[in-house]
Amino acid sequence: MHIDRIVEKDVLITAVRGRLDSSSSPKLDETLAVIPEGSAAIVLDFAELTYISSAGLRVVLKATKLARSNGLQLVICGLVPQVHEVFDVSGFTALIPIHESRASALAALT
Amino acid sequence: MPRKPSNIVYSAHEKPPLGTLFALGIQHATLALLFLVYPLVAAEEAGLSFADTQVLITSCIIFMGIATIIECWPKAGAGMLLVQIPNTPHLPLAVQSLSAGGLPLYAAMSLVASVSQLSLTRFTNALRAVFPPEICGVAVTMLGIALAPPALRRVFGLAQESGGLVDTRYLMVSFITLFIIIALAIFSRGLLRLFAVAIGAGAGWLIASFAGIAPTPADTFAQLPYVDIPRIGFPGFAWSWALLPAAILTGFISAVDMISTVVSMQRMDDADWRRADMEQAGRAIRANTFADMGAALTGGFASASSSAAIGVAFATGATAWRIGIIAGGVILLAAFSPKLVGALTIIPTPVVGAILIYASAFLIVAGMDLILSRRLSDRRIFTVGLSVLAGLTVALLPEVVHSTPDWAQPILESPLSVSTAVAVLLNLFFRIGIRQEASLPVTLGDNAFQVTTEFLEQQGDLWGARRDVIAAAIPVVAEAVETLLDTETAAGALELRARFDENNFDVTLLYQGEAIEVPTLRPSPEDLLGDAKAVARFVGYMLSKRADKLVIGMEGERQALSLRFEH
Repeated sequence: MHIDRIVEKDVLITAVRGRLDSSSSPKLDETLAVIPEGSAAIVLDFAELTYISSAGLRVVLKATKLARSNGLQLVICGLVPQVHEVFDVSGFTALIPIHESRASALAALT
Repeated sequence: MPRKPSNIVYSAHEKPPLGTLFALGIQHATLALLFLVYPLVAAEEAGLSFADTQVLITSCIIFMGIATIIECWPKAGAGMLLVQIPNTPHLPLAVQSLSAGGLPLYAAMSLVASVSQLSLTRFTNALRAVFPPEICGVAVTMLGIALAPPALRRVFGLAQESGGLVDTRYLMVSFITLFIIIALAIFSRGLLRLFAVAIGAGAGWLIASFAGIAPTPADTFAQLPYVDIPRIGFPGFAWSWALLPAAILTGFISAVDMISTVVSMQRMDDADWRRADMEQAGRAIRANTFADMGAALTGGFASASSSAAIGVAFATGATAWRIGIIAGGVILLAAFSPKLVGALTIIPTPVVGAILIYASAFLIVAGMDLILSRRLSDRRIFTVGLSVLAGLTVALLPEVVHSTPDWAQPILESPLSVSTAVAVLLNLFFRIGIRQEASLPVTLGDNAFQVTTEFLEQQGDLWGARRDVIAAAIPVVAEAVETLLDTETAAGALELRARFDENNFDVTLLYQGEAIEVPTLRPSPEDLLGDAKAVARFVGYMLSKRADKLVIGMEGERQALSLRFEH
């Protein structure tokens, strides 16, 4: 798994590539635990995420809770169909705003 | 009811408007009657008298019409658009038996071929195993390749008076005809697309007339009556033990030919096609053999469903069975009009060549699509590759066929029968050593996703499972493995067992420990932050929704979590 963090118009974007399972999720968990000062919102860009297990969902849920406790909105974008199915079945699509692309996520946040 | 593909305008069970129905039926019937050239060739080669030739052709037309109607009728036949043409695999048998004993001998041998064809329909379950999608794909591809030489000879004008030299006028007419058919089939909608083949053929005929290569009617054409009562009757029987093996094999080859055309139509008509419906193929073959028996008893040439008609159905986007009923009726009526049949013999050959090229191109790709619909192991790659090569060998190197005994030549000169036979034999041979069940131990230290992917892909290759089913199963099984091990529901290790039976792909996880709970209502996502039992319960719910079936049970002392994926 590979993680990139970018700040664009005060929005903190975390792009994840590869698989998010029990072996890789601790790394993302650590990354998402840190929210740089001045961040206005958080985007998790999963356009290149090919697989997510329940361990990965747990990390996303923790990050959402942390963002909300800091008064920030967290959104997800670019889900591929097989990952989108996991978000649908788990009920995460009702919990976290999902956008088709990074551009539409940024447009909605700014 | 199968889901209609987006490129199909009228699918098998839809009702086109009456005018369209008739026009499409006539289009198919016209094309089918063009192939009467095959029994004409057989009669000429065998030196049949004019009266016997008339019986051979007239009875052939009548039973082509009857067979088309029965095959297309859902209650009696296959309920799909299958239009009959004179059966080319019968050509060698017809030439040999007509030469040796005239119509009585061909009638007896043709009857034997019908019985041998019919006998195959008694084994539809076995046929399903013998004809998995990749073998059907080989047969369909070779059906297209077998159509290529007669098509190309017509396109280049090699069969004409040019003495074997390419006649560029033929090439031009074929190219324009083909261009119009393809352009209308791809870029147009509505009536233009529905009549793509007729419009292309009409334009081609016109250009052929200008280029001076449209055949002029023979003097006798003017004397042919517009309407006449067909003259057919029982020609009597004669027997030849020497021709018996060829007759039996001709029946088998005809059955394979029928299976290939039926599967091509099934595939074209169903966006979610998964496997060949051999019951439907069996019904089509039965209808065909009954008509062939009728043809044999009345001195006619046998018929079989047309691969060229599949090309027309694809070009027009119309696969409705009702079109076939009209086509069958028109063919039947043609038997009462010698003038009409005579007129069809003057359609320029490059126009026919262009239509055959279209059908050939479609069938070759349709076959490849069938081959690649399943995961291919090394064994399957060689089954497909070697069988296609075997068919190409007899197509490209006819001298190889000529060096074989006389009795074998009629069988070996057909690329379709050679390829299919080699594919079936290699498929059966390569099954040696493949068990329908496999298992793998997984421990806590293993990466669940990686281990699951490697195991399921390897087994999917060996079993020839569908790519999409294996791709859907991997993340679900990986999730189950990861959760059972990470939450310590399974004590440090488990056994992953996969099983395949063509209809289902089953994966069972066997482990020592507690059974997971599978709630019917979705638990709160908050459960993912809870204890191991809450996480397992949440995952249990997700597995039950993502697999087609989830069963929790015991196998001996171990827990068994079974995930079923419909195949």
